Amino acid sequence: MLDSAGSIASILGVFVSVIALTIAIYQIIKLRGEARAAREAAEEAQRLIRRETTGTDLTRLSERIQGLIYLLRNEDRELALEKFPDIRNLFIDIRRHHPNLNSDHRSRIQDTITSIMDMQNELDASSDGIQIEVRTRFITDLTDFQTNLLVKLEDRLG
Amino acid sequence: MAGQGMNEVATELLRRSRDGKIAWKQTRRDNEYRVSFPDVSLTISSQPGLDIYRLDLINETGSVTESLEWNPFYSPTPMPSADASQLQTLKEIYGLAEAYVQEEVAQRALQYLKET
Repeated sequence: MLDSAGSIASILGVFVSVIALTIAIYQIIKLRGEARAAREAAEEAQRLIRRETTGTDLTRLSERIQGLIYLLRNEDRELALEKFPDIRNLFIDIRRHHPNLNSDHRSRIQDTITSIMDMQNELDASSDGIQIEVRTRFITDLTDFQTNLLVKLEDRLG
Repeated sequence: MAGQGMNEVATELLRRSRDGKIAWKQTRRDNEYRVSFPDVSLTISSQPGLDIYRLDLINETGSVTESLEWNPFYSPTPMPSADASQLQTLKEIYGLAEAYVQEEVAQRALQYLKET
């Protein structure tokens, strides 16, 4: 009689253990799901913030380049000289803020930064105003950055 | 004299240029060619008719951080940052960069002609 009772208790114990284990596994799975969902939500939020920031950075950069083109057209050498570092820094920031950019895009940004530095140095050296052919060349290059590189970056990062 | 690092850069650049692995581009200046990597650029330049060659290492902000130059007219010393063996290195890098750009232009022209 006692043996039967013991067996029943054992079976019940095993049954309760199985239920407890099932509940524990279910909770673990549920928690993992929630954790994953939370992580995905955080990643999505980060992505949206990054996209928004990038959009703002690229828009600001485009506006600065447009402003510089305007100054060059008006032969405002002094003010134009002040704008070059700002534009360079914005390109540097974009590269820094987006480590996921591929090697080709990063190299293009580096090339652009170097070209902008060249322009700045050339303009700085020409103390007797901006020659028309230099101005035309600068405007062509700056327009190219706007219509080519910035558009590519927007496609890549947007 | 330029640092040992710059000499190694020049030697490796020459090796890679010989292999055709460096995508040289002409800058806005005549007689100047550049290649850019993710956060570094290298510029090789020469002065026509004069045996002057210069290799610039440019950092991530666009500033020249180090140069290797052969300039026989440089005063007070004729060799500010390169020795005679480096002259050959710089000269060959320049020649390879020039040839790469010329070949690329020719290939583009050929492509357009074939499409016409």
